[in-house]
Amino acid sequence: MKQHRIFSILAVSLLVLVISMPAIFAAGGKEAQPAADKPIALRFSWWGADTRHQATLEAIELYQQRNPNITIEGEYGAFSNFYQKLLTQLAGRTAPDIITVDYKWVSDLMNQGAPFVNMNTLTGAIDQSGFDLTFANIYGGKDDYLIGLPVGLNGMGYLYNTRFLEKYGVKSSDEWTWETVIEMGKKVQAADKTKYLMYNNAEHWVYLIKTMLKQINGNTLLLDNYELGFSRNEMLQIFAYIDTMVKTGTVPPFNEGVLYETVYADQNPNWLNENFGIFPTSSSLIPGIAKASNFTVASMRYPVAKNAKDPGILVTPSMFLTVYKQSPNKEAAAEFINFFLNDEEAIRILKDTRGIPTNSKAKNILVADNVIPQVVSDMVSQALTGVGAAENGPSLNPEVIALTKDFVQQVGYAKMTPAQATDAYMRELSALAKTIQ
Amino acid sequence: MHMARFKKTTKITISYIFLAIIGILMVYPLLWMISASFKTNNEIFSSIGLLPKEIMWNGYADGWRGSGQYSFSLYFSNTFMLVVPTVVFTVISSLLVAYGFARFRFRGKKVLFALVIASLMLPNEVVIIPRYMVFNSLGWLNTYLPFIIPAAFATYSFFIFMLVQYVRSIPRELDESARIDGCNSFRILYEIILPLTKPAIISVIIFQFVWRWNDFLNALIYISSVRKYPVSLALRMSLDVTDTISWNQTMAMSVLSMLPPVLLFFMAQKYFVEGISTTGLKG
Repeated sequence: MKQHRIFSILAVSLLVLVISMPAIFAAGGKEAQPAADKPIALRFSWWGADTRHQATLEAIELYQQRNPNITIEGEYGAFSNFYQKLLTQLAGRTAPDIITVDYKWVSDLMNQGAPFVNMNTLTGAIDQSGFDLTFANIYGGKDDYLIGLPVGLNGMGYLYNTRFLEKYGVKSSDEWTWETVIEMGKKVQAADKTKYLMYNNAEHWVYLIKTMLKQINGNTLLLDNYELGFSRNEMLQIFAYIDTMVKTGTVPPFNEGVLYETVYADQNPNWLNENFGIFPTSSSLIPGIAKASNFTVASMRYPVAKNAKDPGILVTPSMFLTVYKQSPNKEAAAEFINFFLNDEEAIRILKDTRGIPTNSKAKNILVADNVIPQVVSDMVSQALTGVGAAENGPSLNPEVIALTKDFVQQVGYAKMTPAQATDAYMRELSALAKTIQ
Repeated sequence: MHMARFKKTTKITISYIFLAIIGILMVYPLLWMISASFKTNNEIFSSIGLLPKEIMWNGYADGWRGSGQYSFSLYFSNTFMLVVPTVVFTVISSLLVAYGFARFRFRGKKVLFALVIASLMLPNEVVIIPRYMVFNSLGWLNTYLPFIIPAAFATYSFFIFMLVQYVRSIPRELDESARIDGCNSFRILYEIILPLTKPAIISVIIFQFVWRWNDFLNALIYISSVRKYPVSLALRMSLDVTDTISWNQTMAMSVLSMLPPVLLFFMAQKYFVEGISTTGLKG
């Protein structure tokens, strides 16, 4: 009996030892070093693809050469799943020191206790003079708190196939209204029944609704107090417009487009094979689409209604650079951000891999060097002529967006008339607003 | 007589044609993937044909070189370092536990077995956050330990269940005769049960290898340094909407990443069949 007990105690203590071993070793490694020039390891996470990865790694390399005591480890990957991973890391308090954050996550993250250092407290470490801080605050701020610094600028516009528009006698201009879109849509259909003026993917239909709404009454879908931002008549007008787009053949029938509703034009065979000529997109996607296309692309301003209350065109920061609150090396992280956004050499290395820089200093350098693709800068400057009011947290809520997509489908597939869809949408959106409040 | 034979031949021919068509349909996506590794981006998205119009030879070499700091040599060796110990430990620990459940009577056996089965029913999504917290406090994040150590403690209950069922089907008389010959429990496991369980063990190896090899979510959550990325993460590294993706390179690397599990399956298939035939004495 006694032997038995001794054995159990031994077994348990052995188990404890094995399990805690890595912790012991980890603790042993963290011995305090003298303050000056002690080696610092920073972690920096971002999403992107090859061009961005390579440019960023090159900039990091340069920084490490200049600061031999600092090593920066990049944690990079694709955009999809980036947010899930970030949330897990935040929950486990293991997030990197420097984190890239999308503007769509900002209000969500703020509600979770704002796990990033207030940028307004880092003015000493980071030169923010080149940044439009009003713009930064609209998307990344709340009261006196700013989540990070916006790196690039994104604008919404119509990307078009020049050859296609010419062939069907569609004249591009920066003065299009929603009526022009339908008129041109009919023109293309009259010439060839199998061709369509444009294609909106699922994501874009939501932008269309939001933009039209801002043009009608200046509101977002849900107001800050979670009330509906529209009357029945106003939403009916929008759903009726979507219905008209489908019925006139301005956009392809929904059952034809469904396969490609989650991808962009570079993966849409109907764009590549020139079955439609306009793809509404945000400027950051242009380089990929342009490279995939066998024809010249150009950009025109997003449609704005005649007496628009707010031109409503979506202009957003492409991403924020933030410093993690739990980071042991906040100052070093801030210094690196300063280098990343303001250093001339770094700017020349990074170019426009994160969109057109919001930092005017960086933008001027790149414009002088002539490295920003013409059509990207066109779309951004066209969008800047009609910047809409910023989106708010409630309207960016993923459930709200999913619900809106559903109702676009109801109208698009003619399962509901615009009037039915409006009533049902208002009912369900109000109910949803109560649960997410 | 002649007529009957003719009828039989036509019947066979028709069924072969039918089977061939279904077979081609099934492997078409795979063939398409291989052919896509030689196509241009534009062609990948605008046609579904197999023969590339313009052959791109760079997919494999450039894809292997990778996008940033590391090449696929590193990602492949990382994956092996993660998968091989996990598989080995899974086999050893699951067999031990299964042997215990199948052959011994002890207090609380039913409750314990019910717990094992209950953990089989638990969806991964439910435990992912608590598990992350535990591994974090143990300091195991960004290492392969969250994969390997649990495998050494038989936490993959599916395999335990599978092996228990298999061991139960081996006649107890074999154990008893071995015991009469003077074997202790471990020797019985080693000399009698292990050789007879070979087909089941091979299936455990194949399943676990393929699942760990393809595992994306756990790797995504536990591994953060690119230096330690397994292939499943590395493949996704270049896929982003803001840039031109060299799809032929991604496809080429996907083809290569499929090879080890496929090779393992074909190599193990021989033993698999052999294992089945040696257990013929069961009936």
